[in-house]
Amino acid sequence: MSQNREYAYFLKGNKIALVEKDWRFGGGQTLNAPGLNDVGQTGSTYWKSPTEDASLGLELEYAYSPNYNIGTQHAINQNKFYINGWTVVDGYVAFARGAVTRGATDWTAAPFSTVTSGTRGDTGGKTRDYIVVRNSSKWSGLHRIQNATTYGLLVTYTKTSDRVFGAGTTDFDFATTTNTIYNGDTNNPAIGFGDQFDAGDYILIGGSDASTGKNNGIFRISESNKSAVIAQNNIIVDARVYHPDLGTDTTPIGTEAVDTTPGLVDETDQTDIRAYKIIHEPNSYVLTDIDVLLDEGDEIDINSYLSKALVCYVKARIAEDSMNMEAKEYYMRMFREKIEKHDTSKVWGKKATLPSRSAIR
Amino acid sequence: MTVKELMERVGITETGRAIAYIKDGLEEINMLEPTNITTTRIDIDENKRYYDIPMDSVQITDIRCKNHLNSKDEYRSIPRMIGEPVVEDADQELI
Repeated sequence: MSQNREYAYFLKGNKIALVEKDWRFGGGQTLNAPGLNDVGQTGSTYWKSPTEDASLGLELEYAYSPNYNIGTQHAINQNKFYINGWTVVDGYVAFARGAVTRGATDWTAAPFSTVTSGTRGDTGGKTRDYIVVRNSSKWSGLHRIQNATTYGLLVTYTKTSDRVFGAGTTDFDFATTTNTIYNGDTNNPAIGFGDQFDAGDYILIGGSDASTGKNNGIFRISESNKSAVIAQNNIIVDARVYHPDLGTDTTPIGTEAVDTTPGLVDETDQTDIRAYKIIHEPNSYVLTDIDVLLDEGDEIDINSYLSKALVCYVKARIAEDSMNMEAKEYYMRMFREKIEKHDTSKVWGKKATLPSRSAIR
Repeated sequence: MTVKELMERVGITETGRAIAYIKDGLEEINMLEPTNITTTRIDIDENKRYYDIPMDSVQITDIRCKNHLNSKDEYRSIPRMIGEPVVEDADQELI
């Protein structure tokens, strides 16, 4: 049985600060756990940062602007693809997915190519391809595709000021016996991998051709050596992670597979390989076939009464542009009035109040 | 209603300008009365206090946690704390 927990939140800038009361009741005595510790309390009454991991433990419910229409049932690995995390490529957000074959997903091959050639969304080339991301702590929402790569990255046009390590077309080395990734000489740029990563981080490697690309993929880092000697400033990986394709993989769809035999092969002085640090979010996924509000024929995804309110809003903005403030205020009043009428039109009948948590029962 | 129908009602001919105002209006509607709601679930990490707000959120309508005041894996609304706890977070400087 899961542990009973007590959380609270407060806002810090544009982030949610989640805290937990460090106070636990024992699960109760059983035949297997007959000790007194199983009935007593542990911890203190302090509020702290969360004391344990919880998979998908935080649920945010929020309103979003419906300037796109998902409008179709999504099927896993047809137009819904789980991803392993995200990174930053030249200042743009990119989503990463590992694969069992050749290590990293080829976003240009079927079925993944629907991100740029979906049949129901805004298709017609890479300039109008959109995706919606869900279950990402930061990037849930609409993104426009810039580049669907063959080495696992789906690069978007979403700009970010976040700095995440990435290196392209540079000199890497791989050692198979120790599962080590390092920079064997001081060719520019001399990258100390151990300096850029810590144990528990994830790295995406793309562009390797040695032995059918066995060095490609997303790997979990188990050790980071921060030696001043660049060749010894390395990382050791202990697992390859990916989301299974439809086929014979026994890992359930939507669950990240962890292969604890990374299977690196020896490779030296490779100058066409890319490496990116991956912010690990294995439960996030990408939806394709998205219809975005772009032209006159697009349907606005609100009901007919609210669309009247929207007409008033647009009229108000046009009046404002022509400095007709009287008309602007009139239409804004009409806009708010319609919103309120729409809001109250759904309230009907008797009301019931629930006792609060601290009420006497 | 399509974008074209709205443009005819308003009497505007520039499509780009109309779509920009429509997008503003949709945001404003969801600020005043949330009509399009979605949820996102993210992992809670041990000793990680700060979590990002999704980029497409116009208004947060609820925050729930799994196993909050229950042990049945239910998601329940969590309260907003007035003030900040005395125990600082290890990644305080990384906000």
